[in-house]
Amino acid sequence: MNDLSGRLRIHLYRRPGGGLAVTIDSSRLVGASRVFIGKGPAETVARLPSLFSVCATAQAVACVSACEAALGQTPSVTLRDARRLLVEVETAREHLWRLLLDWPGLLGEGPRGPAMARVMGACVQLRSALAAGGDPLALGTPGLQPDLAAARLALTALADVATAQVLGQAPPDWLAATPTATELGHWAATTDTPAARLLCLVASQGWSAMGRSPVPALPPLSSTALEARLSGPGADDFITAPLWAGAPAESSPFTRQSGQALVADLTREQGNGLLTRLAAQLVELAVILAGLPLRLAALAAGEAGPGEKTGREGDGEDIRVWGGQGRERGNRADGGERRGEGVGAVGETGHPANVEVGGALRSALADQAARPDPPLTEASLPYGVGLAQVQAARGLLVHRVAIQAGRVADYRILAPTEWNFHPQGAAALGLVTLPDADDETLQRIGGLFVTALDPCVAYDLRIMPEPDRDHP
Amino acid sequence: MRPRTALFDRDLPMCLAVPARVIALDPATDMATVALGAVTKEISLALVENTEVGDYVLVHVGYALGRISPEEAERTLALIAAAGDLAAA
Repeated sequence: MNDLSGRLRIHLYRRPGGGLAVTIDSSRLVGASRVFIGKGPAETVARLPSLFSVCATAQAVACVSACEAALGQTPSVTLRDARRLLVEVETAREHLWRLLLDWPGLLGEGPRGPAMARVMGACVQLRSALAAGGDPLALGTPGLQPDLAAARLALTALADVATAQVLGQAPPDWLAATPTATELGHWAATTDTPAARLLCLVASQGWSAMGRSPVPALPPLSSTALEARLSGPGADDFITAPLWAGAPAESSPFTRQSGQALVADLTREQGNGLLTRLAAQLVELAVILAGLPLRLAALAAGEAGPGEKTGREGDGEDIRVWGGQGRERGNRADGGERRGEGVGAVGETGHPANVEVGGALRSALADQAARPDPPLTEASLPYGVGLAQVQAARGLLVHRVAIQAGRVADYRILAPTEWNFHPQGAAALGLVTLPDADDETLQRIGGLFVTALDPCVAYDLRIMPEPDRDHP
Repeated sequence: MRPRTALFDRDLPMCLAVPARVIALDPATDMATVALGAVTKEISLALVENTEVGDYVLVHVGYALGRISPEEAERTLALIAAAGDLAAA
């Protein structure tokens, strides 16, 4: 692969006997992180996010968290709160990009550029406000002195855009007003925003249930399982086309929000098709925005934020970190002196090397009782290895770093698009269920479905007259 | 500044944040022409303010995401070129 263009090529073609088949090829550069091998952890943390445009904050948090874990460093509660807040706001920004720029296009309307510009501005203001007294995304930041007033203004600006341009009402009010599919339909019919109009279009055209797939949600992952797959000779294949228990899995806003009342009701009625997926993005946006004041209050108080220590089905928690930090003298991962044993404990054993900072995205309005974490098998990581998983806008993002003698010896990134657009994943299996309509209709529904699954790269969706020779 | 390899001749990367240099502006439409090596592309400036010819911007699916300094652009392009060389190896 010598093409950096990072593009998905999705070909739908008609089977001779009827029905559709699909091929998905990715030219995404999944091995870009290897460029950091040989560099120091501080430089890696500073430079790696600059490679990524759409999820730079989630990448930065995963990177700094993995490096801290590998070095045996434990970030403060305030740092963890600030990072979680930044990742959630980035997720809201990415969803707003879909809702303000992409969804209007699917309706034949113009993009809402000025509104999205305000969103981008609010994100920049928030980042500056939180970094006022130390960068929360840097390695070794001793403490934060965030400008809380400026942060509050930025979050208010973000919520105001969503209220005026997407939901038609404040996010908590929208969540309270749309607990079921029936109420969502009423909202869509009585609200003058592109998001409401798109849901009306999908429902009125009979497209709501299209694109259903049997691909299950990616279960919570243990450090043992991740380490086994992200190290060793099979790691490249895994990060390019990951399977779990030998089968594809999904990690997305839909799987994250499947416990929310509206998403659960839609799933019961329509399955995990187009309408449910579009609604899940709206729900996630509203849940995040409704929870931001609580997040900021927790940050101000220096306490664990809302959702801390709660679990949920599916992908697991917002941010989880595991580190293998040695104690043996003379070979510390940071290049310093080793102090004792070669391997640190990880997981939920309470070992000091374990940094448990996860928390479910949930608003005060969530009606699902918090579920205990499912049991995970955790084991020791090799000395100098750090693993971090972050719930990024499109699903679970995992970083694994190995640091030896103060230098990065290995770096792997597993991104959610690799699960969701796996050649046999949720996108592929959903696309083949689309009706064998005329090309124009099929192109439109297919485009809607791919947008709803939201790949992190551009895509080409083509309707092919006959099977690809390469993919009979 | 030109990229070190011919990686960029096909298309602008999407997932990776690629800096591109603004070579022309159309204030009437809020569009710009950006250059990355030999490739030029029309992008929207709707999401950034006060962009001028010669600025470097990060590009994502047809939009400029934000301006970065020439030094930052050079560092990022070098990283991407190195990553591409690794991938091609």
